[in-house]
Amino acid sequence: MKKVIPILLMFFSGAVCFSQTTIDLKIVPFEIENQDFYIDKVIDNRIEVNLGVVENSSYQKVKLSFENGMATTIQNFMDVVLPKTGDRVPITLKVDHLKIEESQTSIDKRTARVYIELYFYAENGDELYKIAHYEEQGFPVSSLTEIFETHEQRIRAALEYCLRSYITAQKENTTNSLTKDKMLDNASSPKDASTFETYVSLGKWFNMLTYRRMTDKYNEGWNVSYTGFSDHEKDLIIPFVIGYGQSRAKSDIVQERGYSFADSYTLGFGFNGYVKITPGVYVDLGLSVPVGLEVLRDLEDRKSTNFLIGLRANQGVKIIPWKEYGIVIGAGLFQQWQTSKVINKNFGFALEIGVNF
Amino acid sequence: MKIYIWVVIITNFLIPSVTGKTQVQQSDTNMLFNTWFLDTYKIESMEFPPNKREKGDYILFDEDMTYTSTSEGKVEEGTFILNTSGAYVLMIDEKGDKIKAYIISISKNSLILKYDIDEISDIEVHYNSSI
Repeated sequence: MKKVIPILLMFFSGAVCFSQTTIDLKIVPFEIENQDFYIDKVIDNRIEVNLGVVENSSYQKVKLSFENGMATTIQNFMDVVLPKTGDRVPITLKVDHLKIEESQTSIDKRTARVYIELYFYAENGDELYKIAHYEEQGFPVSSLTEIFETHEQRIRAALEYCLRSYITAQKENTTNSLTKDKMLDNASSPKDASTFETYVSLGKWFNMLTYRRMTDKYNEGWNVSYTGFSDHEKDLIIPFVIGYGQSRAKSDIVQERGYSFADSYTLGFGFNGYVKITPGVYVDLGLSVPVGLEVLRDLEDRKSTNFLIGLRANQGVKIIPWKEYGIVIGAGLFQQWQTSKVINKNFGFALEIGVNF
Repeated sequence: MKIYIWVVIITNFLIPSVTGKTQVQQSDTNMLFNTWFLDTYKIESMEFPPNKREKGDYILFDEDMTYTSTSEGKVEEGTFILNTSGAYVLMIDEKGDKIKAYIISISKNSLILKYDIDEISDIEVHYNSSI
């Protein structure tokens, strides 16, 4: 027993903690025309210790950080990109945020992203400029290796974007001040609203497999679906859904129409929209075109088939309590019209249970 | 100084081989300031010529960081930002809409772009200069 506990602790700590990986910026310079400043000091003002948690090429989650720390890495980069010479003005850079994220964002696409928030200060401490920017890149869904190897390139692209943005703002400000007062206005800080994008996290991708039971006045049925969606805070989330269902007409209505049984087999193609109410709770609105086959046997035991096509609307709620792996619970109402020989219009309710991964 | 030059040369050779993505050099950016005429579209190894309405479409990148382009004859103007680290050009039109185009390769006579638009992100758009 004494030996088991430390072994179990080791196992669990390994399972829960992500391994750490360090990256460094490749020093690839780019030319800045008419460079009149250099970066004298870099201040790391972030709260987070890591740059982010990403998947490496073996689908393992790893925590990324700079090999030489944030301030040193960026200073080394800036020393090459903006070399110091006698006549250039020293600028201090403060990094409030530098985050790396990557996630699947549609059924066939992965997005990798860097979010950076930088402040530029003059030697006397005046704030000259601030910028918050996303450097985003889309990849095919299987490109984990390429994504992992290019995180540092996106950081360099983000830094270059911020520098060029500052230089453009400087130029505009100097021109404006010169034409206005015919004097250089050093203390003004051009705060352009469009250069400060507030941070919203890149949504996680949810995969769900669900089983739904539907019941209405005339039919009873079930449906199995795969759903994939990118969770985000925007108004409407459009998931990718593919499903298969079967339903059977209840015996009394079937007999009224002259059949002993009627089974329908359908594939559903359509659009759903999820509206996020609160983390883990979504309102599900959908419209689909179920297409399939109805198999009938009449009271004289003759078998026949009928092509089914219809229109189906559903409104419901989905609850997904756990983000990584967990259960999915759903409930809702549906209305359906279809080219059935038994019953064309019906409405009912559905209960759903499944898993997310 | 020597070590620095070698580091730059080696990393510039390594980056394309490791990531398959080319780095745009600063000298390349001066090559961008040109008029580029639409030549063809390419997916994998298959070539697709542009349709009739696109004949004569071009993009002109000017040294003052403004661009003019025609798309199916319709003229668009705006400013652009070049990012050599990310190997892309970001075009901002008069309405403020942004289009990002990755520079796959650039030479004196040819420019290959891949636009960051979902429907056409896999398509290589080939341009030729008038020179």
